[in-house]
Amino acid sequence: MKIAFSLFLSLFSILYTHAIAQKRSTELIFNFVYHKTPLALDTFYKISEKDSLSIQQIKLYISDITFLKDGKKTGETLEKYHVLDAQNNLHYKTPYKIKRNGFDTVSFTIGLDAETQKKGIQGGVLDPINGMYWTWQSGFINFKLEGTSSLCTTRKNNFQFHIGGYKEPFQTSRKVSLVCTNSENLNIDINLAAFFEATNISEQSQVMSPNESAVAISKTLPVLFLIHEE
Amino acid sequence: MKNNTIILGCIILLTTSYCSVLKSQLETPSYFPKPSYSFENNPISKKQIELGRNLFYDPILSADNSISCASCHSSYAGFAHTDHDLSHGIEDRIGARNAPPLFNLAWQYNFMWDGAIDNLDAQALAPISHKAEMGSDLNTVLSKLKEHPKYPALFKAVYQDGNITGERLLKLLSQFQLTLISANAKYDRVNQGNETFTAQELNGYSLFKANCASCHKEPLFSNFEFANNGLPVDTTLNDWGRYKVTNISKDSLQFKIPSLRNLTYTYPYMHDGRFKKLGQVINHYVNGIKENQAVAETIKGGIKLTKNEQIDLITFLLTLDDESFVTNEKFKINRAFFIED
Repeated sequence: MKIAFSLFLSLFSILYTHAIAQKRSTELIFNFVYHKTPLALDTFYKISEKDSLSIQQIKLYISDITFLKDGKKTGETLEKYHVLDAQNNLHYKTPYKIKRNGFDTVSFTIGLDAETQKKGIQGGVLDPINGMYWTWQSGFINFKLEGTSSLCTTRKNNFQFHIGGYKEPFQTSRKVSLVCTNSENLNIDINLAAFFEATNISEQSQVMSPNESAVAISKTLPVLFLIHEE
Repeated sequence: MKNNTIILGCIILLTTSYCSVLKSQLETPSYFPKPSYSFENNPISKKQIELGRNLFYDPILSADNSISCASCHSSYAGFAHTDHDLSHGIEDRIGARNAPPLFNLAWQYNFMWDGAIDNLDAQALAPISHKAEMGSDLNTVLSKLKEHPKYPALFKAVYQDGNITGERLLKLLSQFQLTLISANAKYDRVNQGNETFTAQELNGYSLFKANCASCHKEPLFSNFEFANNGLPVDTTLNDWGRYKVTNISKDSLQFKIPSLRNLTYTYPYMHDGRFKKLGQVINHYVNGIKENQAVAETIKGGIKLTKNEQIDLITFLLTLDDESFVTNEKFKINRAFFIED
């Protein structure tokens, strides 16, 4: 009886603290944008007098979101892994909890760490049904961007970037650290226009393996992330 | 106090039944090394093995419901594809590599001939999605399983919430494949002191240890690494092996070193199935490697064996055939499941 009761108690306390944390937590919101306006999928954006591009799919993993104050961790999101998919939602919301002292920085990883990658097949947001696990080789895709542009000389003018790889020398997950103010709702913009400023898609339209190009592109990804200014 | 005893009893009961499943399904000789598969991420159970077996034999995994895993991995062929040099997929499409045999997978950490996959659970994604194999995709397969007259109830019997997920499908396929243990060849019976080698087999064994054992390491008969064994590239396939995965030039023409168990049942041999007979394989190592050819250090300039020695070596290799493995009823199709009620 005693065991059953203490089990019940500990279960109750877990649920209770969880509920409290939920209640006190606020939301971190990622917004897919093109420059400063909400991203529109399958819509052509002019990039020069004669060229334009359209994004059909943008999907990426974000993991280990942490909040810091004076360099020390003060909070985190309730979940370790997040899959952001513009097809499902242009605004991805995730609750977080802050212990005390607030925060002045938010940091996270674009993609998944090597330990998670090595574990292979897993469930939930890591389930391969999300289309973010390669079939022909082992590993999660950290960042997936597909679309078309008159700049691309490929079949149907398509561009396809499946950026992944976790084994050196082709490690492609990237850390991002953003200075921010301690506010109720924190908004982070993911500006896709910055991708095309960093990567010349007329020269490189397809990267779908862990290789040097994937590493080079992964290094440019942190600049896509900006604290949203009202 | 009473409750304590009941809980303790339950724990003991659960642990022993779990262990007995492991024991009966995954029993291996004492001289086998520790498996490299992470069983803690996919604890084996009888029900899951059974469900995994049905999935392995079910052509529902392919785009047109024509090809199952077993189509290219037959139990009687050591789970290889008898007499097929390259794998054979939906609509008679032909793949680019030989379907390898499946056994002793728990000890392997590289899969596919180029090691593109480093995790058994992830392996099945490749044939399911390859357009020349099953030509389907995980989401389609899961939708079909959810609509199937039998699978939803079977998943419910294994998982409380009954959800049919990608992770579960893949791990169930692993569970069945992990039970495919081949450890009852004459070699094993000799090792256990129950039989003895003939003089010819013994001579072949010495030759094996001197010439082959560094790559084809006992007792699994592979170190599961990669090597260039000197086969010239087939220009109709232009398969550069491991190079495709690593982009490192030294990996060009390196392929996964296969186990030498069950050779009688698993012909044809090599990554592209170019040799039908064991004699051709030995002949390649003896006469097929040029003096200055870039090959694995251990076979530089070829292996020196007389005609008689080659025969003795083959005689030893045949002691690695495990007849009880290729005839094991537990590994064959569960006919009752596939016959309509």
